[in-house]
Amino acid sequence: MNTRIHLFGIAIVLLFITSCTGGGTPKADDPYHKGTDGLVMTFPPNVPPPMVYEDDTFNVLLRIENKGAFNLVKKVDESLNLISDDYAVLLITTNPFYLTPTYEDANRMTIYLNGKSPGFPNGDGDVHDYGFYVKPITGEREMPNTPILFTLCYPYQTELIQDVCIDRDYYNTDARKKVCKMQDISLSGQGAPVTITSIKPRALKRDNGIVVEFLLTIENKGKGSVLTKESSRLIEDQCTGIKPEKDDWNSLKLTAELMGRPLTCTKVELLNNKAEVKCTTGDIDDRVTNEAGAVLGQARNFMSVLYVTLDYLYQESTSKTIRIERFST
Amino acid sequence: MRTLPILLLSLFLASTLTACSGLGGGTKQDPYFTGYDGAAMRLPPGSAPKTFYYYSTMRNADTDNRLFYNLEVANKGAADTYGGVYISGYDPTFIKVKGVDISQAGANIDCDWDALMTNHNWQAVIACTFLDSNVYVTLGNHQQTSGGGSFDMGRILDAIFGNALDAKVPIIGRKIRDWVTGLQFDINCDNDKNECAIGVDWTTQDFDFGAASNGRVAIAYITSLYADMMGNRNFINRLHGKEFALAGDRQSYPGGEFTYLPFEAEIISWPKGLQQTQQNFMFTSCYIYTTYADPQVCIDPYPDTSTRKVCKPKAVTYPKGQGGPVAITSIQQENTPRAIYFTINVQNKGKGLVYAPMSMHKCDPLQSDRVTNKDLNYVILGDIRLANENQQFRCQPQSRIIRLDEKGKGTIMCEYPVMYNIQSAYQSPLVISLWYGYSETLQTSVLLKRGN
Repeated sequence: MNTRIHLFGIAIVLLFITSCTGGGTPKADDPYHKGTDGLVMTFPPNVPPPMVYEDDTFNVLLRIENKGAFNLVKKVDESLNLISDDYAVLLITTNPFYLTPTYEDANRMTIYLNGKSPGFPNGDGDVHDYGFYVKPITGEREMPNTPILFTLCYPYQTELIQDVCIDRDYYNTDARKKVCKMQDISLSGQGAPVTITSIKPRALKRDNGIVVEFLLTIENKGKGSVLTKESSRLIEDQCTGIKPEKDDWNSLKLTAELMGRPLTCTKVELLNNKAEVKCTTGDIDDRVTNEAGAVLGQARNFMSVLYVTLDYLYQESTSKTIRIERFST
Repeated sequence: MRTLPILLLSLFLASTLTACSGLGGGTKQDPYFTGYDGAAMRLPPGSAPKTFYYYSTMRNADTDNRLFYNLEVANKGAADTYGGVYISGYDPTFIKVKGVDISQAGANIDCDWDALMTNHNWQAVIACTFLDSNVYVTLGNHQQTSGGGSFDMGRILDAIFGNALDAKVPIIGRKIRDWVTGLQFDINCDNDKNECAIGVDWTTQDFDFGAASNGRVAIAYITSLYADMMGNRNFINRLHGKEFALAGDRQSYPGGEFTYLPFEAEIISWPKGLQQTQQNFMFTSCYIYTTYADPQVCIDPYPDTSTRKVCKPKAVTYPKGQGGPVAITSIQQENTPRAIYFTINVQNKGKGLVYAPMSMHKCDPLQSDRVTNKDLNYVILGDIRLANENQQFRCQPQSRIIRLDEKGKGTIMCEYPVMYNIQSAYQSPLVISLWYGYSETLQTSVLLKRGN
């Protein structure tokens, strides 16, 4: 009896101790802006089947999920005026010698899917259903294989919000204590296939002022290709239209802000899926009354927030190979 | 059984002897003049939030999106001090601290008074700086005098300004004037030797220069040196920081004086897309301090003679400091028939930086000029004398500036010419004052989160 009372007492004390010392540390990172996925296509098992007969029909189910952080949605303002309309289009390519589409999913050309967010912790997804007719095999070929190619083309955005140290004394010649040190930052994915993998900050003295510069490394970590996004054209026109000019391929639109002020950046063009971009603040001079100088004032060393967005079209393909069997006669 | 009482008695005698004879090491010190603290900063519990929420829609404009820091500054050392505290390290684009104007490099309107003492001259300078103009009035003798004089700085200021100084700088001005009211300078010049001796007394408190100054002369000297070199400006930039003047920990003020400096930080905007961010606040104190020591030394021109003497010259060590961050660690002496050579070893024992007086303005973290080795590790041997003698010490370096090395250590050697034709030894207090600027930092961080 005494032992039970003691154990109960210890349990109560432990309960108080664990409740009073507080929970875990708060999450420092955004859990949604992680990884290098955008839209992901997968096939459920056996749909389509690996083998079909001639003069027959079969179905293909395709699961499309938005595993990144960008929402493919229609955005409206408070007055219901359209701000932006972002959606994916699915293009299907088959060999017409063997296959003919019979029906297609109603959303094939306007796929709206939310990305990862508190409302969609794993991102939104949908299953598309497509039907095909297998033409009778002519000639003497037996059991030919034919692929069905599914190509997703969609606008996407990589968004980075990163704490960075601003230090006018980049070369550490000042003996005063600092709250932070300007140093290179390595990053993993931001919830999109195109990723900013590193930030190298510098503060350079120019004449009477300083310039804060960021060298960003951008990489296409997904399995697809990058196209330039044009706001003035419909997405399906951009995805299905004339082959893009050489300049449009692997070209992204980048915007960057520091301390709420826009940075001036060089053009972003991926070469071998990689690019380096330089973004600068412009001259920040104590004595010159310009916008950046007035903002910075006499502050010499502090943590600030770098905000970078990359806008692009992304194109990714997957395929299924179907074996066609003849009916034995 | 018999050995136990003997053992206990032995232990008792041993502890008594070591306590009384100072065999435990070091010079016996006044309990107030110990330690390595100066003006210490602290954020009392509860005054530094770890997490703070930003609301784009405010309910109470006086408290929403405002962080309040109540910084305690306590003078835990032995000397009076004057200085200021600055706040920095935060992003000025989305946080604004009340009373801190980061867009301005220096004070627009600043009035100061200073007393400058040199070997041959004295002058009092009262100066006001506003916009790009300077107006100042200088009082004093600019030539050598053949006589002596004395004057009361406090009375002079009263005669000229009345209460104007109090109105300009309410708390600090009144305090500093209170300190120097009754301050008397006596200047006696010998034209034959072309030398002047300066004596300083506080008549209201009726004691002599030295410990009684409690650091006030250092404050007057350094602020005037700074003003003289930097164009009549105060080294504390009132546009960037808050001033303090605090009495030290001593018999008349046990525990030392302390004050609370409030800082109010307002989040004025929130970066696009941001959910949370860590922001740092660094408090930097910049102040003038004095380290004072008065060990008993033995003056013996013939230390090797075997005649019976009242004392023997020996090194003095201070394992516990003198109530200031820069400490005299030891004093060695070498006795000769004509002069006694004192080697004074000092060290920065605190956690901060020692500043040169003319670089005190660079202590401001918002000051654009960078701080280099030339601005640091610079201690002035403000005073050295034997008891109340007027005999001047000759020091190396002659400027009486002690430069500290990268470990914070420095040395100065001073020569005392033996005045009297003595054949025996005598004890006398060696009065030493070190004057310096000092800076310490205290950092805190807060996680700012979007509340709505």
